[in-house]
Amino acid sequence: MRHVPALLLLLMVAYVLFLTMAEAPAFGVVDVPSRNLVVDRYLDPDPEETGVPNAVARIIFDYRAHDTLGEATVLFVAVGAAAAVLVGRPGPFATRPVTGTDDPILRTVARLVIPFVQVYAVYVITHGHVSPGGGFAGGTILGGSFVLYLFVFGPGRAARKLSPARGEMVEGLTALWYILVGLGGLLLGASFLANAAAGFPLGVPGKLLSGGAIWLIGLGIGLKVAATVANLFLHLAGES
Amino acid sequence: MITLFGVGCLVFLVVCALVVARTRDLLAATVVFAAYSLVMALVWQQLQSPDVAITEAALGAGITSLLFLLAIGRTRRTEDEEG
Repeated sequence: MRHVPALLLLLMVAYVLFLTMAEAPAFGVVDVPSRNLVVDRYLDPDPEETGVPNAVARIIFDYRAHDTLGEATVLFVAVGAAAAVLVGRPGPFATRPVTGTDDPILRTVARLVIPFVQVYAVYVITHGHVSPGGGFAGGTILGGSFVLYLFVFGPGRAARKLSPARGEMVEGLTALWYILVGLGGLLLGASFLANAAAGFPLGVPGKLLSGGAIWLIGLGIGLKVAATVANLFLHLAGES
Repeated sequence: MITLFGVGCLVFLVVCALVVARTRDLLAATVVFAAYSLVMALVWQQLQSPDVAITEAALGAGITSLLFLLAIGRTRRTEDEEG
């Protein structure tokens, strides 16, 4: 009986959601209301303005680079908060620390797989401007390879590869790198985080070394996200 | 998106979501959730957003599942009755 109010509430929410979906424009049609001049400029197939064919990289590291800086700051604060809660005190979850495994299959497979994962991660980070992927996705993959190492070989050995202090240093320096690239735009006579307007060399669109500030910021974000993931798991696994 | 493959993916997603919500074994729920994320990555790719697909596969199927695994490893594996 006590489920009846919840069920009624759910039905009401479902009704509103279905009503909204019925009003939504059909999938993939051109003349949706949200399509305007901004969309046409951002998705321009000719990459002369940014030198970058990947529209997603163009938006997050050039047109909307300020928003991405805020997002990077959110990551920074999140890991800082996790560290503040977890580091240096046993806390409620220190019941069973992660120890790694002796299983030869897991150890051998991890040894074989980790280098390939890392090469792929570097590829995704460095080619973010010409192909799908980019700093956030590639950084996550790079951090994931470290987490695999942590799970198989234990937090002690993982911390010898990348200590929390060094991880935090990488995080701080890459955040600083983002701001420095942005200030470069200011120094070159345009606005903060300007790319082509500030005269960053755009190169040939589609080549690896192209896109100016987009490529530089993407590298920093990749390293930053990797360090963030690695640090978060080190803290959670109980290595201090 | 209205292909047999797409419909199959979407049905799989709904079933996975229901299983995750119903099961009391948190480890099983985490594994099903990882499968959900992998198929979701396929759906993103079908919707022509490969950037989101790569991020979904790495973050949703990879990092999130590992985070849950770590949390289960350090707490308990089953949900409380009436929890």
